[in-house]
Amino acid sequence: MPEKLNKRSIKKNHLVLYLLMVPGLLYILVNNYLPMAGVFIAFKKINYALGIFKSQWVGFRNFKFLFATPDAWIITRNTVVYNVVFLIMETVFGIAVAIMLADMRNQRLARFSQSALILPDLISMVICSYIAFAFLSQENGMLNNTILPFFGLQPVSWYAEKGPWPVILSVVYLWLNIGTTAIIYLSSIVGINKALYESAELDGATRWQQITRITIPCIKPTIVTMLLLSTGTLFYSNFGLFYLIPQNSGMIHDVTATYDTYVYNALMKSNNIGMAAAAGLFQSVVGFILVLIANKITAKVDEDNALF
Amino acid sequence: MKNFNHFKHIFAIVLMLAMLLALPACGTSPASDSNGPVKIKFEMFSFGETPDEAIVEEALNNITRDKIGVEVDIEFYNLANYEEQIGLKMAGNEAMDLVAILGDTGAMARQGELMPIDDLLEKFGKDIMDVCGDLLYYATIDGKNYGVPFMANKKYVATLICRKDILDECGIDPKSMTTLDGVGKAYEIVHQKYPEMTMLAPDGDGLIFGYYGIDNEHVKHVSYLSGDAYYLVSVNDDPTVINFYESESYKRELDTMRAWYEAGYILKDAATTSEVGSLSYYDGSLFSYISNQNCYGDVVEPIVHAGLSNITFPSYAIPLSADVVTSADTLGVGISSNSKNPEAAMKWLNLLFTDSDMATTLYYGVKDHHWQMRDDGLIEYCDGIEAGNSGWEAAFNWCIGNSGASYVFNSVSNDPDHNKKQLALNNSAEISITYGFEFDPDPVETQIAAVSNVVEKYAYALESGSVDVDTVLPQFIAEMKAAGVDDVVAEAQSQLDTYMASK
Repeated sequence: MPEKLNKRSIKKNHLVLYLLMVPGLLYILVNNYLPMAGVFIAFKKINYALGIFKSQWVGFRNFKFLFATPDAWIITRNTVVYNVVFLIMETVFGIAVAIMLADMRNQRLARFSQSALILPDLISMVICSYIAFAFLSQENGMLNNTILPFFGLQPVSWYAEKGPWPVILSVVYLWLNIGTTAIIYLSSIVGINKALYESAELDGATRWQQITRITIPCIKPTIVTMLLLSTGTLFYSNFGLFYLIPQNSGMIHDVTATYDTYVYNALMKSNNIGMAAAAGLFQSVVGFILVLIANKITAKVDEDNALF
Repeated sequence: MKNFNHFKHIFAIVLMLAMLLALPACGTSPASDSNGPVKIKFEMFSFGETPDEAIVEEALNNITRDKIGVEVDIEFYNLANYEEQIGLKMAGNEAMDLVAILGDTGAMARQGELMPIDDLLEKFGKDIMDVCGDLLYYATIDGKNYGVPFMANKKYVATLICRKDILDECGIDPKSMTTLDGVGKAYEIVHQKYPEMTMLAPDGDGLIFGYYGIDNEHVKHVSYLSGDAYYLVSVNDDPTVINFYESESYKRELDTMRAWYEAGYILKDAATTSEVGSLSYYDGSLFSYISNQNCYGDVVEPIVHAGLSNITFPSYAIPLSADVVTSADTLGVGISSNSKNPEAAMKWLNLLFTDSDMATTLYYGVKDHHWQMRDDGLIEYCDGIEAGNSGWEAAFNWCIGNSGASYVFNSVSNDPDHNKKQLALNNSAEISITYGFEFDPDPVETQIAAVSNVVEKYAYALESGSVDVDTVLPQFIAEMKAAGVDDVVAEAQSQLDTYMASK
C-alpha cells in the first residue's frame, strides 16, 4: 500500500515536468503522426479531379515495382549490409575516438579535436560529393593525377570500377558521422565515476584492462540504446551518400544502389505519388518490425536495457 | 509488453484524430465574384527572378481588362519541384485556372489535373486554333485535347554547337559536319591543333546526345512516343514501336562515341559529370556540344548567343538530324480541372496568341519600363536593363503562348518578322505520323520503373564512350529485357495501333 501512495505523489510532483513535454509531443503529433493518415494513398490510383479520398483503390499494385525487378535482391542486400557494416564501424570507431578524447589532457586540443571531428557532419552532402569528386575525377582528380603517379601506380576510372566503392562509401560515411557518435559516447564516458579508475590503477590494472572492465561496461546502456535506435533505420539508406557521392554512376550501381536510390531512379520521371507512398510505407513497416525484433532479443538477453 | 498495449491504444487515438483533422482540408473555395473583371490564376514555373511581378501583372491587366474583361494573377513555382507543388495544391483542391505544363500533358491529364478543352477552344479559342493548325493536337487522350502547345519553330533537331573561329582557322567547312563521320574528321584536325581542348562533353542531363538520335545517314527521322519511356520510338513514319536502345542506329552511335572517347575527344568524366557542357563551352575549354535546338533552316548559320554578351567568339549551329516535328509531348498550358472560370482562362489565352503588346509584356515585361519600341519595328531593353537582371526573368517566352505574336528583340534578329518567319517554318516541316500519340504508362508502370533503373545504370556510361560497346551493350539489352522492356514495347504498340486506327 505505501508503495502505491508513493507512486501517486510522484506523479503529482512531476506534473509540471510532464507539461514541459507538451510542445515536443505536439510537434511529433503534427509532424510524425498527422501525415500517417495519408498511408492509404499507397493503395490508391490518384486522380486529382476525384480527390484523394474518392480515387480508385488498387490494392497492392503500387507495391509491385519494388519486388518485380531482378534488382530487388541487390538493393535489399546493399541497403541492409551497408547499414550493418556502418553500424558496426560507427560503434567501434566511435567508442575508440570517444575514449581517446576523454583521455586528452590538453583541454584546448581536446576541444579542437571535437570540433574538427564534427565539422564534416555540417557540410551539405552535395559539397561532400564534390570533395570526393576532387579526389576521384578522371580528368582532374587528385588521385589519378598526383597521388597514384607518385607511387608509380596506374590511374583508375573510379566511377566505373565496382571494387573500391564499398571502401570509399564506408570511409566517407565514417568521416561524416564519427564526430556525432563519438560525442554521444564521450558524454557517457565523462559521467563514469573517476574513483573506479583510481582504484583500478591502485590494483595495477593496465589501460586496456581499464577500458574493457570499466569503460565499456559502464557505457553499455548507451551502446544498446544507440544500436536499438539504429535497427529501425536498417532499411533506410542515406540517400545523399549513395546517390551523390558515386555521382549516380550507372556502372557501379551493383554496389551503390540502395532502396532509396532505386525508388528515386524509378519514380523520378513518372511523378506517381501512389507508388512513392507505397515505397515509403513498405520501408516504415520493415523498420517497425526490425525494431520490435531487436527489442525482443534485447529483452531476452538483458531486460534492463530494452526500450519497452 | 503491457506498456506496448498502451502504446497501441494511444496510436489508434492519434490516428483517428489525424484523420478527423485532415478531413476539413477538402472543403471548396468560394466562387469568384460575377461583377467586374474575372480574376484568373495562372500557375507557372520559373527559374529566374521576378521581382517586378506586380507591375507586369498590372500592365497585362490594363490590356486584358478592357478587351475581354479578365485579369490575371500569376503564381510562380520553382522549376525543380513544380509538378509536385501543383499536385499538392490539386490534392488540397486549391482553385487555379491556367496551369503551365512542363512537358507531360498526359500524366497531368490522366491524374485528373487538367480538363478537356475542345469545346472551349471551339467557342473562345478560334485564334489559337488558327495559329496552331494541326500542331494543336499534340497530346490527345481518348480523342480529347487537354493542352495548348507553345507555338514557335517546332522543328527541334540535334544540333552541334561549335566554335566558328576555330573551324575557320583550321579551314574546315561546316557543311561537311552534318554527319557523325564529318564531325569526327573535324575533331581530328582540331584536336591536333588544340590538344588541351575537350572536343565534346554532355550538356546538362549527362547524356551526350540526349534522347534524340543523331544517325542522320541511316535513319531519316526518329519519333519519340513517350515521356516516361522515352526509349520507345518509331522511325521513318513506320508505326512500329521500337526500343531505341536495341536499334542498329543506337549501336552505330555508340561505336562512334567509343571511337571518339578512345581518341581523347570526349571529356573523360562524361559518364558522371553534372557540369553543364555549354558552360565549359562559353568559357572556352570545350570545342563543341550537342544540344536540342530549333532548326534554323537548311543552311548552316552562325548563331548569336542571346543575352551572353561576354562571349567573344562566334558559333555555328549544325543540324545533325532531320527536321521533323514529332510530338512526345511538349511545353504548353492547360486549364485546371478545378477551375471556376475556364471560359475566362480560354479568352485570356486566345488573346495572348494574337495580341503583340500582351505577348511581349508577358514575355519581356512592361513597355517603356523593361523594353522599348525602336523605329525599325524591333524592340530593345530600356537603359539600365539587360537580360539576366531585368526584374522579369520569367520563362514564358520559351514555353507559353505564341512566340510569333511577340515583337522581336534587336539582339535576336534584324528582321521585325523574324518570329513570324520562324513560326512559318512549321508549315514546311514534315509532321511525324505519330504526332499527338500519348502513351499511357499505367498498365506497365512496374516494368517502366524497373527499366528506368537499368537505363540509369548503363546509358550514361555507354553514351559517353567510356565503356566497351561490344561487351556492355549486350548486357544492357539483356537486363532491360529481364526488367520487362518487351512488355512496355508491346503495350505501346497496342496503344499506338488503336491511336492510328482512330485517326
